[in-house]
Amino acid sequence: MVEKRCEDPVIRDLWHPVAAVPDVVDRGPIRTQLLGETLTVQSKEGGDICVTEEAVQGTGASVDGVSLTPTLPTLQKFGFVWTSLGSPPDSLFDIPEFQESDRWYENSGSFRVHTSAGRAVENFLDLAHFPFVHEGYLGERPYTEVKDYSVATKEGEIWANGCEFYQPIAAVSATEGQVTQYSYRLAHPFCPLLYKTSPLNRERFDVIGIFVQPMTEERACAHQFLCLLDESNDDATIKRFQAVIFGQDKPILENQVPKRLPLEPRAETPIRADKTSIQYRRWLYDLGISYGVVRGSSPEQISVT
Amino acid sequence: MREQLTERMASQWHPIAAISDLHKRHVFQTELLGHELAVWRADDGYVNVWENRCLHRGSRLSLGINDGAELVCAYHGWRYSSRTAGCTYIPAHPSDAPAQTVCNRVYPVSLKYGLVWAALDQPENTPDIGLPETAEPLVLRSLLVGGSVEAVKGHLEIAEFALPPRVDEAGAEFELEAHPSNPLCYLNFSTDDSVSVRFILQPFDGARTVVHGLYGPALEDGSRLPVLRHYNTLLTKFREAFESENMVLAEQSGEGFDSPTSVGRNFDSVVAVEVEAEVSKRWEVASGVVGMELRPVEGEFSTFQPGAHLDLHLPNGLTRQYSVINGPGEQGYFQIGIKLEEESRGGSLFLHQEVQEGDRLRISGPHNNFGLRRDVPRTVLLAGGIGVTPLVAMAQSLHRSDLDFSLDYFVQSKEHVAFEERLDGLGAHLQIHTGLSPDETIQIVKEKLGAYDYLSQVYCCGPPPMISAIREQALILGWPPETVHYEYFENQTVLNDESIFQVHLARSGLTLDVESGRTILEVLRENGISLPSSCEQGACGTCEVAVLDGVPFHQDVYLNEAEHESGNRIMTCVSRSHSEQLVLDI
Repeated sequence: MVEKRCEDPVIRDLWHPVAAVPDVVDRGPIRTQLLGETLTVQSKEGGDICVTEEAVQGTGASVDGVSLTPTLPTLQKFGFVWTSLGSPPDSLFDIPEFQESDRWYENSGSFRVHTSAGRAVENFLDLAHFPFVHEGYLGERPYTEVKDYSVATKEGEIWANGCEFYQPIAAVSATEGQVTQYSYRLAHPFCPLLYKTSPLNRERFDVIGIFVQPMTEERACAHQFLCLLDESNDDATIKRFQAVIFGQDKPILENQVPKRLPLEPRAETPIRADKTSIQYRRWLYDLGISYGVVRGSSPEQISVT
Repeated sequence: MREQLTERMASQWHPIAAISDLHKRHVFQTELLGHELAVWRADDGYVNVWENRCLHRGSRLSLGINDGAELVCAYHGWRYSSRTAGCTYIPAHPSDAPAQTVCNRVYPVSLKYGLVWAALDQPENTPDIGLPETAEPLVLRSLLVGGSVEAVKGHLEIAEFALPPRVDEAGAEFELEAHPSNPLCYLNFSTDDSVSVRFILQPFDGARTVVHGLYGPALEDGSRLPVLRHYNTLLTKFREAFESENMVLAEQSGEGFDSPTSVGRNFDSVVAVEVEAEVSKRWEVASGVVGMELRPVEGEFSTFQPGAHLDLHLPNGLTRQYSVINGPGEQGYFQIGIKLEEESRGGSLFLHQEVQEGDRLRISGPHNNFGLRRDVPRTVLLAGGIGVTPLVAMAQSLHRSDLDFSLDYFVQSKEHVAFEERLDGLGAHLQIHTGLSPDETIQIVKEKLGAYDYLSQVYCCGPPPMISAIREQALILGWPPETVHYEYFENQTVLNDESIFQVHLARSGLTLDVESGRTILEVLRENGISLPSSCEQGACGTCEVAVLDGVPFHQDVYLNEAEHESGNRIMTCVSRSHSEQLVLDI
């Protein structure tokens, strides 16, 4: 199937993650997709990483057998390579916890999923599925209630605070079930973060997030990161835990119809527990995003007849 | 041309599965004209054909669990009742009864000739392929062919199929003829008419077609296999020849028909109006208690949840409430129990003396103010006398789940035990206590409750003194009030006048009172103003109305803080008013 070119200026201008830095450095050039375009991510001498767009057939000139392809704006942050197909802002959002010296930071894997970036983000923001999709890990039946929490917009970001959920194994370091406190932060339309009670220090929060790369309208790659106070667990154990969790979500995500995220509030049936997702969909609508979503009619246009 | 054909096919019956494909507790997935279907059989034999999509977040329902009475979505555990596809439980909000609008799309279904038939729009007739109503042909193995229904038709029209061995004319090939009134059905007869085979096409999507086959007359056990093999070979060869000629690629599937993008629900008001019901059964349930089974005169009853009650509007002007005792998924009718009250003012007396089988009553509901939470490991059900009715429904629902529960039923004597046949199924969960004094009753209640353990809840229903005593005991034993649920059998709601406000409708000039316990949306509907709604929880934004004057008391989660502050819009399903009057732009 030929992907039609992404014409959405809003999404073209965003910074998007395309690869984990160590993957590029250790394993050489990575070919990937962003908004339907094929990109190559590779390290240059001196440690820089460059991202090039694969030449459209017949248009790429070549000198001495090396094709001259447009080089895209690039930055490295949080252990990932970010790029943009348009004119991106000067900087990317910050995660202050990333600077704290007693934390352990890890790219815990990049997982491809056959659905839109929006659906993947929404799944990350969702508490109510824990006892059904992650039973025995992030939730346990019959403890299914989603208690009221608050959602607010702060400096162009969406924050959900005061979320609570009972979890049997909230993280690898957990030894018993706990009521976990969560805050969610949408720092970027495709970068949801969550702050949750650390099993080691209930005063501080572990930060976990996914940076979602919209590969096409209906395919995405979720780059996971962890910024934890955990010292005891080794890399492989934590990666395995994250892979198990994502493996549970993947079949659910790939069986949502339509794959593109519907923004029209009546297209699906939200409930109070979906507060964050309601505001997320409205935010994408207000930003004017049209790629990977079903915009439908404007929420304001639904009038009473 | 294509559109016309699609339109015609939409209101026509199509086979979508063999009945034998619907194994116990299985969810079968197929497509009809590009619409994905989830097909499942409840334990009572009812076959459900639903849009394969949970209306909450679009998850395929074929990933869900068929528990024999309800289909449970795999993503968030929402439960949908057999027959109506109405939502009975949303685990994220255990104490809220889902709105009647939370209902997945159901398609017309018919079971005939060993096949499940479905249609997108309600057809006028029954499936017709020229077979006698009572025929029980042998169902052949269905085969998916990679081509549009038109292309497959074109090839079937020129195909010649041999009759199976042991038929006299074995080896001779016969042309297929299209059925005169059903262009998607092809017939293949032996010359002497002793054998007839039918191939019926299921338009799966724009690039795929399923060929279903029926062979008549019925065959003995031992002689089926050669016939099944024969046609499986023929159809497989047909498919191979067809596909090699058509080179239809699997990737093209889905083309030609629009895939549904909206859930296709009716968002207009689903108003809890009065409907007419017929008393289909009336029987002595226990001493002084009559059981009644009510069936809708037209259409289907709304979805109920355990603990729900009906309002019976009697011809003498009285309205009485009775709990529905049905178990989960029991949706075609409602059963209730009516005790003859000693001091009846004409409600139970009328129902006992005047109403017979075949009579009609006006009912509304079901409503649910006594919802069963299912987020607690252990539930203690305590019933006094006829107060057992809502708890019968709850016990049956809990019995199907993994949750622990007990039902203690206090009655005067054995003769007063109601709905024994339903209760019998509960086994060791049920204990019946007869002829106890109030003190003895409370002693048992105490033992049953024990000290509060953070893992239990109690539901009680019965005479007011009994409920008061149970609540008091629970308090003494340390049970928090929110874990003690009760319903007085005599339901007397006292209105809180302080929260009454008015809505003035600017366009129609109407002024309406919104009393405590009512929503603006309900009041508008009762006064004939139709407003679309969906979640009825203040989450979806569907029932929004502009506010021209007054101070809204926002209780929704759809609007953001700034919008709440501006006060110029309101979600009529949940929000109220701080000011005495709200002026709305409708």
